Amino acid sequence: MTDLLQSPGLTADDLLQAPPGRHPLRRIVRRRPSAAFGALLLLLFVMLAVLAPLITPHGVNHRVGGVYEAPSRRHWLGLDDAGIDVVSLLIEGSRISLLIGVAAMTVSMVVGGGVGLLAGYFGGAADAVLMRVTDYFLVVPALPLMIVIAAIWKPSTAHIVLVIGLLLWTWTARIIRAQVKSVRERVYVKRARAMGAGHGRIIFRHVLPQIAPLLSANVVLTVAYAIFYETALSFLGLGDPTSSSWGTMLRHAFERTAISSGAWWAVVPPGVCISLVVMGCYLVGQAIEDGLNPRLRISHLSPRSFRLKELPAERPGP
Amino acid sequence: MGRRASTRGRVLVAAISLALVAVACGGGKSTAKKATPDGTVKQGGVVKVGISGAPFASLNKFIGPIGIYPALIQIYPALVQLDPKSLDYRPDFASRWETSADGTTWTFHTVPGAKWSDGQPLTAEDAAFTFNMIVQFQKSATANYAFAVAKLQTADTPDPNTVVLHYGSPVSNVLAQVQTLGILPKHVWEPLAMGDGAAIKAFPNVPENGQPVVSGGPFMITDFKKDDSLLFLRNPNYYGQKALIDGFGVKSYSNQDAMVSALKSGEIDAISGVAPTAVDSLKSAGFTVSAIPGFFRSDLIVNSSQNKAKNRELLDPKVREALEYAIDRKEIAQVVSLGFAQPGDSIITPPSGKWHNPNLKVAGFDVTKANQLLDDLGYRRGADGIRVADGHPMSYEVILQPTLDRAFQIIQAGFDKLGVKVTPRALDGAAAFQAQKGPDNKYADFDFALSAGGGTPQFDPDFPLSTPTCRVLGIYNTTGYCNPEYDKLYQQQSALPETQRLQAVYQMEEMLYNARPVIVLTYNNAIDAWSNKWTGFVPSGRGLFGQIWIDTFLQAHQS
Amino acid sequence: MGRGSGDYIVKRVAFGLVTVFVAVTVNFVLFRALPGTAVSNLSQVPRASPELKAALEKEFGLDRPKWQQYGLYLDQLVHGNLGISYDNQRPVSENLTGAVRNTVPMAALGLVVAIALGILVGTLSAWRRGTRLEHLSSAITVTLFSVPAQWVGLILLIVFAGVLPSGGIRSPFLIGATSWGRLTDEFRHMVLPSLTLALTLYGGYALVVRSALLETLGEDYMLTARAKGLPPRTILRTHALRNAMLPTITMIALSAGRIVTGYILVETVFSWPGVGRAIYQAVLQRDYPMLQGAFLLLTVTVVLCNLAADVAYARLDPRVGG
Repeated sequence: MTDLLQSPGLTADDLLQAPPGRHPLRRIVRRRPSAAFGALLLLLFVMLAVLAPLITPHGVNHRVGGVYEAPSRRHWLGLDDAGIDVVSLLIEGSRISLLIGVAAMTVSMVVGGGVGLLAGYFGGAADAVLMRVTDYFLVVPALPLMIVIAAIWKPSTAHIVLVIGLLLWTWTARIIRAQVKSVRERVYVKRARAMGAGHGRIIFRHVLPQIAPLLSANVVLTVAYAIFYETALSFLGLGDPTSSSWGTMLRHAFERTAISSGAWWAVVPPGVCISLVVMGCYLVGQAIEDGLNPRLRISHLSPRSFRLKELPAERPGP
Repeated sequence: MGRRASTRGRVLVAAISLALVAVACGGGKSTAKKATPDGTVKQGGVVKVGISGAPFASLNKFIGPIGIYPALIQIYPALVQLDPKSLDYRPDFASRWETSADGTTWTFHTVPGAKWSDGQPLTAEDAAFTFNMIVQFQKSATANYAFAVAKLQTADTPDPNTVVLHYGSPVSNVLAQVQTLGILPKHVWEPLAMGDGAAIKAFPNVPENGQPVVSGGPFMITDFKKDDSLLFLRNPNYYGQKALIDGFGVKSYSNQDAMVSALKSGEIDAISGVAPTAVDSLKSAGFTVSAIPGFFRSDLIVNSSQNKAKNRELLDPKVREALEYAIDRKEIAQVVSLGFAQPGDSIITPPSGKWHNPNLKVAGFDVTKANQLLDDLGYRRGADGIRVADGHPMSYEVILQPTLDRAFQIIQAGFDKLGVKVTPRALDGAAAFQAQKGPDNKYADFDFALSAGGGTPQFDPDFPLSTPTCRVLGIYNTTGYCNPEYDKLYQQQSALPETQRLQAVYQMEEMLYNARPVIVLTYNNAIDAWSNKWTGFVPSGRGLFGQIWIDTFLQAHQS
Repeated sequence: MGRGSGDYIVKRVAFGLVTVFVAVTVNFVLFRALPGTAVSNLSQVPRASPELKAALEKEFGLDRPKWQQYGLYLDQLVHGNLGISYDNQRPVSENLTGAVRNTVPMAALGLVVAIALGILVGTLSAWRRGTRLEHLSSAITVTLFSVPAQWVGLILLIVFAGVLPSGGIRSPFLIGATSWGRLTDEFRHMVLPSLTLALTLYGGYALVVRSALLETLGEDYMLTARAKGLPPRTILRTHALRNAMLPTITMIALSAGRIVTGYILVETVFSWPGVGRAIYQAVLQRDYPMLQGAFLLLTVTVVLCNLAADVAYARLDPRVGG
């Protein structure tokens, strides 16, 4: 989904021209209810994930009834294809899926951030080489490659995380590099360098804080991306079949004809959860990005009025 | 009536009775089934069949393992066919046959006046050509059919309606082998069988320019779309009893829900390989659902190689016995197959008829007994509740193909009660076998593997019995089991006359049952469903589009 | 176009070639690392024998050292030969052509609809920013953008069961149909997969069009145009949209990765015998030549799209490549 935003041409270059605002996060939440809605969604799922061991009503490895038993008082969303409580699976799934999302994001941040920082800060040959590598990964179709690598490795959750993380870092690398390049040329950085500050100090004291807001937008979008890919890999039977992620739930439902059996409760809830988390990530990420780009806040062609306009309030999605 | 021609007396009886049948049916009619009631049957129409998975990559029989055999059995005649009722081989392109006293020469008398779909004569010459071609190139182009010409030296034709097979030594399952050896049109394939035989495999064998693949069986393939669909139309030149339908089409679905939904919406008429979970909704929607014992097994493979490096207690038959008692087969059959599976014992599945050893009994689910067995061996539980065997915890890895995770959960729960820990290692089919045989085909590393691939592709038990032999280590021996005594029996049974062969087969089944290189978990049903617009299907234990016999669509007709 | 941009394009082409070469090599190594060889897979069949295994290994040159296999592969590639598929032993190029021919019409239809919808919705939501219409369309766009493609496919499949074919590329059961009948049949089969693709792709395009347009609308020359008294519609058409199209087209050219992901999932749901399923099958069969061919095809396609985007940029934006 963020392939579009991941491209080298547009968003990254545009974003780098946007000087980071003072308190972008606070401003965004106040002015954009959609972002607040997104953040609320994420918060909800994070809470579910954290509290999962406490609030899961039934075990996720134990049969509590018949195959595809319909929703009832005891089991609000019925049972899945092995007679396991769907609500429990959803809660446990939020843990696994978010874990996969966050872990894969971390991998991609470390790799992408590292490559971007090195390339942008040092420039020259390091930049050239690292950017060529990045370009290679940009043209390699991610999902087919993930399919191949997932087949090479045994499909464990850790491997899925690595596969996704290692193929998602290119966008991060490009943004960071562009940002670092621009920050590096700023007066106070130059001054710091002239005063004898080391590379490490400059990077961590001066460069990183400047690119942090942009990075945070990237972080949430990458989480969404990773969850999306995990779902796709699981759907193709290349995920970890023994983990109870939402992707695995969908795969079970798909393989065991939940739809033909009329067991909508095995298909719809995991799909809705994936969509909500991805949507939450997207709304938050987008809001941060918009907030960083002042040009987006002005429209000279607003149909309502002809004036400089502050970022208007947006209503949340359904 | 018995048509196994193992003694002269039998040959005579067979010959006479066959001659009678031939006269009664006006010659050339080879099927022994009842004639359809006159007037009541609505002829014509094309049955649209959906199958799940297994896309067809090629129509050349010398290529690949992918499920093309069910298609080829419909278009290439065989000397004999398996009869669904008697589960015995009946005349087909050969109206009768006899065997020499030493069992090495088999003479088949073929139906005279037969024609290929393109009008060329179909004679014993075609049969002899096919067999000789496979023999000639059995180490290269035709290697995938080498099994069916084992010990066959040559085939000749004293006259155009007789083919004589000369074997180096007696072969017990000649009829099963010639059923597999579909006869190819000599006028098409002879120009290809030159030099090193490379042209044989390069031949696409697809319908072209509106011309069907040259066929001699009840149907001909008129349309082929790789990995998508096949269309069969009735072969007007077929020498046997003609099908009542105009033809049938087969469409491959990669999505069970789509297939079921296509049946429900009337887009297709029948589906094969239905998931057990879909049965209820199909029944309530008014479709005929056929769930019959299938040739498919689910197995728990236990590494049986003497090369096994660690956890060698698993080689102990007592340990295996204990583990088997801790497997709740009924639960697996219920949860994984919703009851469309039966607990299993022998590696020969029940639809193999007499070859399935009826004396073997399914081990019951008895955790107490299992615990007792392990206690007796002195494997006490450690602090964490996991038993300790020879100084290490009884904690093992199970290689798991992705679709078997539900069965794994049940096995894991059972072993848990035993103080035995199992962790899954999910791998796809190709990677799983690689992991089982390990580097250099040593079978040194793995403990267990869960497999759904087990099953019998043919009625004859030869193939499943060959899987645990030393000869196929690293090829398709999945267990690492290699026992000279068993191999000797395997060699013997392949040359014995039928009654003695049966005893040998039972003995082999029992040996495997006791040694447990595979713990057979369940026998899975073949589930098919069709609309009530059609009737008269004879599905085999491998489904509607199966390869066991050719009768599936022969008597199908509109209701 | 000055010399600078000419050099730039040459550089980009050279880089594209290097990328393809790197991809070829990486793919070769990667696929050889897959556990489970094609031969052990092919020969693990009822009829296998040690002879079959040896015959297959010899046939595919797998009995030679890896570096020799690599050299052979490169040599064949230079001569335009992608090798023979292990699976059905037809030339990979023939298999791929068949798969591409199946995928392209379906994917193209989906893509065209996605782009049209994306531009329409994106323009609308930028133009009508802050209105109820925009909120509604944004909500729908973001929702569809967030839903996994396979899930949309499954839902569509059930909703349209009985109305439209639920899978496959055409009905194999049409006997003696007219060419018009066959054409409509193939189109009917194409509707659901294309729609799934369109619905899951358009959101991305709409969001890009929207932000590109919004940026353009924020430029000072918009203010100038407005001050000159030009009607907003004219400004939108002649100035804003035109300027916003460049990044949009670039984006579309660069979204190949997402399209590929989309059609692999869509083809699985709708039993579509195209490139996506071919890749997936090839992985399961360990059909290296087929995988190498398919990856080469995808890489070359993406590189070409990138190149097209670069060239477009160089032509339209003189600042690039100076």
